[in-house]
Amino acid sequence: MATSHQDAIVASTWSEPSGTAHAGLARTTGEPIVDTVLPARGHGMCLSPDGGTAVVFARRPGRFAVVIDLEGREPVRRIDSEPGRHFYGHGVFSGDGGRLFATENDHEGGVGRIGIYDAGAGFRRHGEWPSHGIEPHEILLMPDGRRLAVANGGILTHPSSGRDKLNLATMRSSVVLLDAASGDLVATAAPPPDLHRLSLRHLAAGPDGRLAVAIQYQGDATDQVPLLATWDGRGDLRLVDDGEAVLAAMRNYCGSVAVDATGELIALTSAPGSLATFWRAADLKLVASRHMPDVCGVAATAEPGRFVLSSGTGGLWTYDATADELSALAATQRLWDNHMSCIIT
Amino acid sequence: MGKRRQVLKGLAAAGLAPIWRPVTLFAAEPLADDRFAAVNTSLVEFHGAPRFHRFYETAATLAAALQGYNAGDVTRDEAVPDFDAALDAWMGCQHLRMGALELKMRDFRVEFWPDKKNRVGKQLNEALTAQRADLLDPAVMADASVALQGFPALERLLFEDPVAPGGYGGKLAAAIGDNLAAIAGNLDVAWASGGTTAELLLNPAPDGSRFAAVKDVAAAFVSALATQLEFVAERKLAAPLGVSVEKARPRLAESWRSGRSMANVTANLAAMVELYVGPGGHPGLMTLVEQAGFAELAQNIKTLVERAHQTSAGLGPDLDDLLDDEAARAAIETVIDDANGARRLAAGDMAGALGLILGFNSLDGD
Repeated sequence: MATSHQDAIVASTWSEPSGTAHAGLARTTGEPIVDTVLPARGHGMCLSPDGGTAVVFARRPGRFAVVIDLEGREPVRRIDSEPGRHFYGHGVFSGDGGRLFATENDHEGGVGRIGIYDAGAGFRRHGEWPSHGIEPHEILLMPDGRRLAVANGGILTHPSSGRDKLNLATMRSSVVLLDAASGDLVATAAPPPDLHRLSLRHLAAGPDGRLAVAIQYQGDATDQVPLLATWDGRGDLRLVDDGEAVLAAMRNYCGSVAVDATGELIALTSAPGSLATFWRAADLKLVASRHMPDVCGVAATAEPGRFVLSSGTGGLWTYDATADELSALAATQRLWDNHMSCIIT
Repeated sequence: MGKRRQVLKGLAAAGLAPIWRPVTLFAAEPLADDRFAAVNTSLVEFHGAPRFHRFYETAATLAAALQGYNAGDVTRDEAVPDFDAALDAWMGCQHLRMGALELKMRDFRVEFWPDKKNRVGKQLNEALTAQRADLLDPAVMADASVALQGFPALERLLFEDPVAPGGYGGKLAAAIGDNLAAIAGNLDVAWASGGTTAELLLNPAPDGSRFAAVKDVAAAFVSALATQLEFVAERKLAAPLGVSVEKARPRLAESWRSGRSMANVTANLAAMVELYVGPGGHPGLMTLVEQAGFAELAQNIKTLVERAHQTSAGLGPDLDDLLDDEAARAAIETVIDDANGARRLAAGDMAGALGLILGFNSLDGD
């Protein structure tokens, strides 16, 4: 039987009202189970396959990642980025848990890297692969366990100028599949040239291996462009029809994406639009939309059509597509950060 | 030209010096829940409920007029004021998306816009060519493509190439009118005393209800204010205005076929004034800002929202008439600036003053 969403545990970063940055696990009441204070605001968080370890990455341009033993046996360990590299905010474990992959910037070379860390040797960095693009952001392991998917956001930055965007006129974003053992490029897809200012940044995979891609747009604020795509790992991206009026309310900025347990439904959030939208994965047809102030984090639960959502206002909600019903789970004082994942217990 | 003079007068009356500036916020004593609850109640009972009721009444009148037009008892000229009244009423509640309006795609069924790919035109032409009798069945219409169901489709049938009474086009217009009245009726019931949305907003509870706490309801109203101000400034005004007369794009405006693009904005902004200042002497969001001890901030937002509304109201109903007039364009720019200024203060300082954090992710995403 599928686990009830009330029993789910979420993994996220958050800020307390006092301003301190945290990462950990929480019940859907918002009550933390594991609560680790971070040196600065965190971003993405990934879990080891055995569920015993979490790694949290600093938000870009970040110099640290933090390894948390979720059972509390080991002290929190800090990983610093290599000289000449900084973290972009996301990472993922290999299928056997032996390696940690992190999206990184080679800021002198101006190219994206996938840093490789040995989980069995204190997360020592023992190499890197090219990400085959600029600004690799979210990375995930495909359901087959053999390939990595990476979204290259395409926006060039340099730590000397913070988050300033240096290449908008020529930017080119992409999604790539890499062999998780060798780093070899397996496949790549990019938006068409006339949409080169789309920035593909966040990813989710359905059980069938279809990727959902959340997009941000670096062009004119009044342009209406596709902000969601799917990719089956071959050929071109399938972009959502940009004639869909709801896109105008998403403010050219989608921050998180999730695919439900069946792979049939995609949830896409826009914090600037304070809007969560739900789409049929097969044909990218809009199914529903709901307004929640500053909503961003979204994760699938084990139940078909069921998601958990979080907001910077402290709210946690669950959306059930079967009943088309949004319900509040908690109103907390915690400012839930961009991303959340749901742990099936 | 009369219009230009009118515009200049409007500008002078508005007094155009920028008046908003950053306000330093300190950790004020958090407002008690009953303060939020009082404003929530006021906004549900005296802002939302009457506005959705007005939408229902005007939509029902429009539906009757369209039936009359189709039967040959009402002229098109007689039906147009009913169209205007219903669209004005819709513009007065369009921002209240939380609750019944966001369910069953009602917001897009009432108005599919912006319509970048001309879905309304294409689907309407297909329906007219095929004379789809099934769309005259209310159940089929309610389940049809959202592009066929609401004001944009009706606007084309009444203004672009007006349909003849008694023919398929006349019947389709009447069917769309009935559909709008049915949707508006559902919204009216949901927002009326004891209705589902009113109950959700008045009785938040952390038990799987839509809203977990009174502050969440207040945050939804603040968010509705900020979101609508942004939508008006960027989509309804800045996009058609363009950066110059030559770059103006009048077809990006809302309701341009009926010459109502500015009338829509004025009705939207009138609703923003009421949401903020309060409905008819009852408390609005401004009351909370004052109670939190931020009198100057409260007044600054009021000045911006009211000035945006007054400037817009002074510009007449039709944006297309204004886009090649430099003075009018300058006035539209001030509406955009005031609406954006009010939006920034509402989502930032005002939310902070109320202990509602709105911009954690949206202002600092990744």
